[in-house]
Amino acid sequence: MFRRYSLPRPLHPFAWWGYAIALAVAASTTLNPLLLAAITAVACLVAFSRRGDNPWAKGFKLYLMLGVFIIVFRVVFRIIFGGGDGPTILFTLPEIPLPEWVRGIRLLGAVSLESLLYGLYDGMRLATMIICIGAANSLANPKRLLAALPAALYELGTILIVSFSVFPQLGDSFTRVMRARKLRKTQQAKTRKQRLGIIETIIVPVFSDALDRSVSLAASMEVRGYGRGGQASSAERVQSTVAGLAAIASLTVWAYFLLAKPGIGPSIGRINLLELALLLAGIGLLILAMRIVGRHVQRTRYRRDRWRLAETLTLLSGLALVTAVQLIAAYGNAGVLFPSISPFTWPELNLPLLGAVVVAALPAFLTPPPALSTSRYTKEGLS
Amino acid sequence: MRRLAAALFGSLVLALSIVPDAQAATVKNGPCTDDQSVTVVVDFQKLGGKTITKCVSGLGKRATAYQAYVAAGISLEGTGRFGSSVVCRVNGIPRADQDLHFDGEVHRETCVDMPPTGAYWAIFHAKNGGSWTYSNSGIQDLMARPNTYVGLSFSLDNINKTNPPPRVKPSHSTAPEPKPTPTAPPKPSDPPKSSAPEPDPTKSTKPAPTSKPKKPAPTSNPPKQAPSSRPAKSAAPRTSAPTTSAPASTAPSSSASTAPEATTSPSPVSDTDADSPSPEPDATESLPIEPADDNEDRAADKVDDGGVVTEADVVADEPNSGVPVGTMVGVGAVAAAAVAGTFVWWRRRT
Repeated sequence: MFRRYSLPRPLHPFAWWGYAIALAVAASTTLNPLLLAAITAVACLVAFSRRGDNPWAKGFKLYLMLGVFIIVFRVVFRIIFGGGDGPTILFTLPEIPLPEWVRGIRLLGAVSLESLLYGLYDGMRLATMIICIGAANSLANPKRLLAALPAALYELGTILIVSFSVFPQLGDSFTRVMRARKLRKTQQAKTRKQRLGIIETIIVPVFSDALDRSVSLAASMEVRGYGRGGQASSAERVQSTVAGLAAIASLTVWAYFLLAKPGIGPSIGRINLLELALLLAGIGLLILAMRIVGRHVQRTRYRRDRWRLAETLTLLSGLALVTAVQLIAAYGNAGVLFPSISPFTWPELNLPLLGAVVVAALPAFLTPPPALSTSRYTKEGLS
Repeated sequence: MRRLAAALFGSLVLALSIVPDAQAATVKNGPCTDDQSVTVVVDFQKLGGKTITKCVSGLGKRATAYQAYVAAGISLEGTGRFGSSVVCRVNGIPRADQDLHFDGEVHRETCVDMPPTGAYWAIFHAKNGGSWTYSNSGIQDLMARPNTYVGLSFSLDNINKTNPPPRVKPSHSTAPEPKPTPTAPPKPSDPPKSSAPEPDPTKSTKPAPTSKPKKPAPTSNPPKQAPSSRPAKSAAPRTSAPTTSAPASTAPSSSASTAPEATTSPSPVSDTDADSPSPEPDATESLPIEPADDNEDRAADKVDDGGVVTEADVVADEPNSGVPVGTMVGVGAVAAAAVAGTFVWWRRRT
């Protein structure tokens, strides 16, 4: 039983995405740098231990670098544009005087510890959310994710898959062209014209390659019967259109209530019943419309991803963290999620948060390991 | 190129080395009595704290309202997104776990983004003898000119036109000489009246007219010693303590650290009111000058930092002179996860 559970296999992409989005939502609810760092560390741990070895999986370090860049950028911006709001002045740069009518903007000048901390906390929040999404991207193969989309989004999924494949293919073409150039041993460019010629000999083959590929892809798709459709009766088409429009209208009104004027109609606790009804009606109508549309898309799937126990556990562990954070924000000691800076308080993790973080790290150990391609063990130097 | 870099570096060093000294601002409680100072007011309105009125003098020419508040020892917390250009909490109010009811909704202030229009700190300003005007610039841009009033007033469940101005009349007579007014506390707010007058004979150990912005005492009346800029450590904190009955989890606290000094004054009255976390052991000693001084130095150091002594500092200082346990545990958890992640990464790499 346990051996069967822990056989290497990729998890359902929706499980990873749900887990990562839960982590990102939890990160967006707090400004506690410790909690943010803990969420980042958990996302890294899970991504490193459970990612596959496809090209997307290797992109995780790009997201990490992007996160670091965001934090540095935020802090530097606080220094450039008036970092003096706070009592603890660290150092003073020469201020660039600005006219009276741009009051509120300040260039350089005094830099306080508080403003740097504001920048740091805020940057950490955004960076954590991005790293969570990056973890999902490297844990779940986007191609498998699209394959798991509902049937009504089948056409859309096809388009997305084709466009997703563009960049890896361009990179592939580029390396091929460069290798060919190296073998030919071209001369060093001296004049400007020769230099332009080099670009020509790279770009033109790459683009013509892309064109060739897309033509052959279109031909092969046509042979396999893609794009066949239109079997729905006119009554069904009317039904699906009406349901879809009603769903969008309902969701729009819901969004308006959410953003503009809250508190119309009865509410239980902190949940407004009118908003809840609009949201549920919108989602229900949307599902109905998609079912009607999807009834006529027939397709077979090769080795479909199954939703099993490990998927449920992953999703639950992510939801545990976000639930804990949201409950504390709404009913508990919300100060721990938003440690004050200006009278400085040390950020802390209390027991519920600590427990939630530990639970969120469980997928790194509880899920079956990823199925790695064997090529990198057999063929040295490849991959 | 290298020369340019050297020049840039040199100018940077120069700029760093000429950090101007902090303005020598002096603070006293109650409205000002001259025409050179700025009166800062904080009215908690429906949140139910005691209204704070303080007079700050000696600010620079280009001082902003924000600097006036900081000099007055009132702690302002900004938001994560806008820094302290926005006032989100004053002396820790509204607290993060305080439910604010407006628009038929319950809101909790998180100080992440701009506070909602239903519950925010409105900024007012007034000339001496004039009337309160809703400021159309932020606290960092509003100038604190001499002989004016700046006021923060919490606007809860109001619309634009009904923001309540601070309930302090923005006028005072500008007597030429600011006189110490030992008997007239401007606000009859403080319960521990009994204790207030006593500490008057401040101990000799304390040099009175140092010009340091002093933090605590959000409301506190006792200007026993008006000209002494650092409002008599022994006096102010004591009276301030009860005002923390308003939520103020983070704010007026420095009473905690300064309270022990009160014992050095000849008549150490009823320290019972101070719900200070630590000073019990000291309070019993008959001659606690050393600890008091020590404590004072520490407090003074913090004041030097920038005029604000935070409760976090104070509280953190007492138990084990460091970071709270929660922080340690949190750092440990983050480190453990990071080490585990690095290990996994390293193992899968080889």
